[in-house]
Amino acid sequence: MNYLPKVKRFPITIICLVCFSLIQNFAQGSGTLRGTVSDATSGESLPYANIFLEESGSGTSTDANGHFLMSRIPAGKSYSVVISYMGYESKQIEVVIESEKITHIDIELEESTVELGEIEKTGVLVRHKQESVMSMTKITAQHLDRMPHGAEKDVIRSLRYLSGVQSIGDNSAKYYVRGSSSDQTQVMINNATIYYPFHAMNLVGVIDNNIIRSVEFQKGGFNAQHGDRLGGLLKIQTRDGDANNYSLTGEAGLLSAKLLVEGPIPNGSFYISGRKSISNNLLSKYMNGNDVPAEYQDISFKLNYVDDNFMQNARFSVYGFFSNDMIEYESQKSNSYKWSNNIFGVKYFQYAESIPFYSELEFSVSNAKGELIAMNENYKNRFNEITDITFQTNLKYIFESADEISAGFRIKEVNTNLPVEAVESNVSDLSSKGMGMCLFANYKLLRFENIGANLGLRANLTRIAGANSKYHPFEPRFDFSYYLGGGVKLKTAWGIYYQDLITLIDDNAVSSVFDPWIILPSYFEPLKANHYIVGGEYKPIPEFSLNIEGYYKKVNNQPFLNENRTRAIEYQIIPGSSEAYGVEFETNINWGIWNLKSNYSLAWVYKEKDGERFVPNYDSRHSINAVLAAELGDGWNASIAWSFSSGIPYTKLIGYYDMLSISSIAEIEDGLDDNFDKNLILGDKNAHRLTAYHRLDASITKKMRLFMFDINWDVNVTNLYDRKNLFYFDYETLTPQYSLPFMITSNIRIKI
Amino acid sequence: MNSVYRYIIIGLLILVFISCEEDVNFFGEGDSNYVLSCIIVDGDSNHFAYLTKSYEIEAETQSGNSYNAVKNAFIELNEDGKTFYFRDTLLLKNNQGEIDSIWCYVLTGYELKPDNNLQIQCRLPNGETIFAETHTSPDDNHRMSRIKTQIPPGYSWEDTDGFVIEFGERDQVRSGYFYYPSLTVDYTKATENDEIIHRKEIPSRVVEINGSELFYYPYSVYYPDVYYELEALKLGLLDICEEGFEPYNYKIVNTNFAVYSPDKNLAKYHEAGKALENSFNILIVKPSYSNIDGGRGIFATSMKASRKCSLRRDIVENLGFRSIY
Repeated sequence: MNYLPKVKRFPITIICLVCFSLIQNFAQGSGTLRGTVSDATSGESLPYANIFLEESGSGTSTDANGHFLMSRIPAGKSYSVVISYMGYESKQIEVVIESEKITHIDIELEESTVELGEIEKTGVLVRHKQESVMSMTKITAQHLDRMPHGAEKDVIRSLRYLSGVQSIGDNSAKYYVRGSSSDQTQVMINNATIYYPFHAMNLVGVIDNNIIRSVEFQKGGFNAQHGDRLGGLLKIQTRDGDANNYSLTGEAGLLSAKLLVEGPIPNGSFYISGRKSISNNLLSKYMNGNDVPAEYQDISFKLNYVDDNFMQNARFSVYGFFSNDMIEYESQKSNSYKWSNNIFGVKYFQYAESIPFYSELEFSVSNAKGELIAMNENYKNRFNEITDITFQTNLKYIFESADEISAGFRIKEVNTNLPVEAVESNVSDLSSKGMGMCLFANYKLLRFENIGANLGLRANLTRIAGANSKYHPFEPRFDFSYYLGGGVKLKTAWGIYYQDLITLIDDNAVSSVFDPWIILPSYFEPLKANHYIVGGEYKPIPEFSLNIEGYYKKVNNQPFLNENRTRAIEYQIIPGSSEAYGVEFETNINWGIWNLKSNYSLAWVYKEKDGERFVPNYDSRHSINAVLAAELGDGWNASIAWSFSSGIPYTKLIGYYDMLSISSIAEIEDGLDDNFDKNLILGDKNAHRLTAYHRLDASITKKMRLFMFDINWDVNVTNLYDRKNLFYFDYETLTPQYSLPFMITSNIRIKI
Repeated sequence: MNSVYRYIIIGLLILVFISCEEDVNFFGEGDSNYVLSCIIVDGDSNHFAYLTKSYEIEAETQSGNSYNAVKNAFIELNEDGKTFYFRDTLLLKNNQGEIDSIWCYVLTGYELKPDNNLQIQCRLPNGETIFAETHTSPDDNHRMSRIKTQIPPGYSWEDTDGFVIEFGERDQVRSGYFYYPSLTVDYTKATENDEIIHRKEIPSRVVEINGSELFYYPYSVYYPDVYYELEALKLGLLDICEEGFEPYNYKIVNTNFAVYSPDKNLAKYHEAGKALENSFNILIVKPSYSNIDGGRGIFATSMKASRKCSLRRDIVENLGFRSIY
């Protein structure tokens, strides 16, 4: 109860700080530079491009949509603005900044293979002093192309090369962010949530790399705009499509074939993309040679419309994403599965002509359906569906002092359907619906050269899971950074996070076809996490950076399946807790044509259920990743990636016993059914560790132009030294199951 | 630059060296477990208890009662201060033409009482004792009187897709308990003596998947009623017919509706076994439940209430069966 007054005081503190800041915000004799950066050929926005003012030594970078804004520039002068972006020719233009006015520039960059020069990187360094974004990795389409990717370019699989991201083996693309369960990381496409983000039994992500413009991946400490999840955030922005030319891109690999059509439309652009699985041969390598009769396809599209005559400085987008999966075995002994995602969204973005004010409205519908189709009478059909209808707005104003304030509201209606016939056909339906309404506000302090801060508050007016007496409506978030000088910056973040949507995951499962979603039942106290993050960055020169972060995350009311439930009055899920802490080191070194990204994580994860504390099956104490990439010139790129993680937990098999088998309660009569099944006697749960996982991958890419075709061809070697990495031990067959063996795959992409 | 290549080659050689799989011992050591399995069912004249021993992975021991049975133990059942003794015996069972020998312990002449505490104690040959207790479910026989004897019940049943068999009021649900209903028909075959009665359970639901029909039988229900699809009833009856035999070769002689009320331990034991097949996950460990103190296994009870019904004659005859009515 002591906590409540503190929470109530927190918003008041924020309001005071914001008011104080507003008073300080009016500055005279300065102007603002605003603009966009895009590709000269396609008109596609370029996210995270560097903008640098030579005369003032200040800089910034574009956001995920290619927009930038620099305020507090001394007025009445002409400036040389240098704009640079990886893989593009840098550009230098002259602009005159007028007092109390916004100067707008739209910059187009030509694609090139020239490396970043010194001056371009300085822009990043200047921004680095003020910006305080914790635990975030920003990835562009260009970066994704250059990462080793195995059989299929897959943004979700690429995440495993980041620190703090753990997987349980190659046989699953599922990932666990800083000890969080897989359902505690939100996957979003253009602000709409993807509920089943994997194809083919979690082997491949549903988002095709060809449609991605930028990716933001945050492992914790995310700001007040984002709720719904306790662990992490994977935010994928799709491309706009080529605004100048029609083009057709085809790609084929060993897993799937893809087609992308894009081009201009009156006052806008479009793209439509499709992918279809073409062979299961490679999938069987992921599953130790076992047949995986999986078929999948996905379709994505986006339409953009910009017309100043209709609405000045506004952009409308309509997007859709649809994926389908089916696993159908020939034998009737195995069940069939179907699951799908259907996402549709509309987005409106506008900025004011004369003041630095941005507004964004978005409406999206995300529906996911999963189905188990029983193929014999011993099983029952099962079905899960989730429908999420979201409307949200975000308004942002940038002060003359460079501080930013943003605020908005979100209405989210969620409907889930999960009849659980297995336990009690009449009452065990976990279907539910609810509406969550929230207001959020962030104040970003950027006025000081060496201090950056972000104060945020998320106020939940209603909760998707309904009212609960132990639920506080506020989720305060805070991060702070201080630049010490000499390239050294200290940073910290803290926040409270709630989650109302969960998946029913069995702790004993090594893999799942898909995870069914439910709204947290009303009897359950809210799922709540506290994030504490401290760290520092060292960036003495543009070619080198070191990032260190330590974190502690405590999750209360972590749901677990109630394995002992037999009665209607007993709950389907029971509360436990989890705790994760660790430290991560990341370095980035640029050296001539070479780029080395490496990281090391030291992590601990514990879960507690019924008073029993245990480590989950994805707990790995040490992880090392190193990706070395080289631009060899003449369109050649090469990269190698080495991953290491210390052994994940497993449970030893002690012996067997004969367990009386009961097929039906009604059949137990007249002398008892005397069938016995062999059952396992297991040791302490997850008390031992598998051997360490490590793997070396390599890839080489060649870009070339042949007549009217842009060709991108790559060859990938997975598990170069054929390490036999254990995935799990099959107690039924007494055989170890391994991760991917040595294999060579190739992809070719042709654009007309 | 040469030194760089040298280091790369040395590094690769080290990686190749460590690429071999290290030995991981997936098998642990533990003491032997004694496994007692005893389910006492209301109305049975004989009650059986099975006592076996766990076995190691690498041992040549095979699964099955005949390999792992433990003989010369003393098993006793305690109820309200009274003790009933099981005797050990060897049963010979005909299992599809082969005679199986099953070593078990038998208790005869004991009648299960509803809503009562029971304890079982087993003194093992090595002098140790394993123990379990349970509490029987309340009596459900009074609920049977409200069941309509005609199946399907009611007047306008032909115009509906199915029917409900009610054995209690919904608002009189016993907190926490649930039931396993079962509708069965007894029949004779024209090719056999009329005294040989066969029994067939009627499915409550039928689903067509890939051209074949899957029967679903009533599962545990919380409320005292159960819904049967009319189509499932008809197809379930037709399922009696063996290949090459038409319905007129069979005579429907009896219809029974029964409600089984397992105690808490039996319900948990049964549900744990079912958990595997109802998951979206790929599980490596089959869940199990045990209430045996000092060992493994199950000691549980199941009460039973039943009522004789009659299947509507027009349904039976329209399907081509012969009816005794």
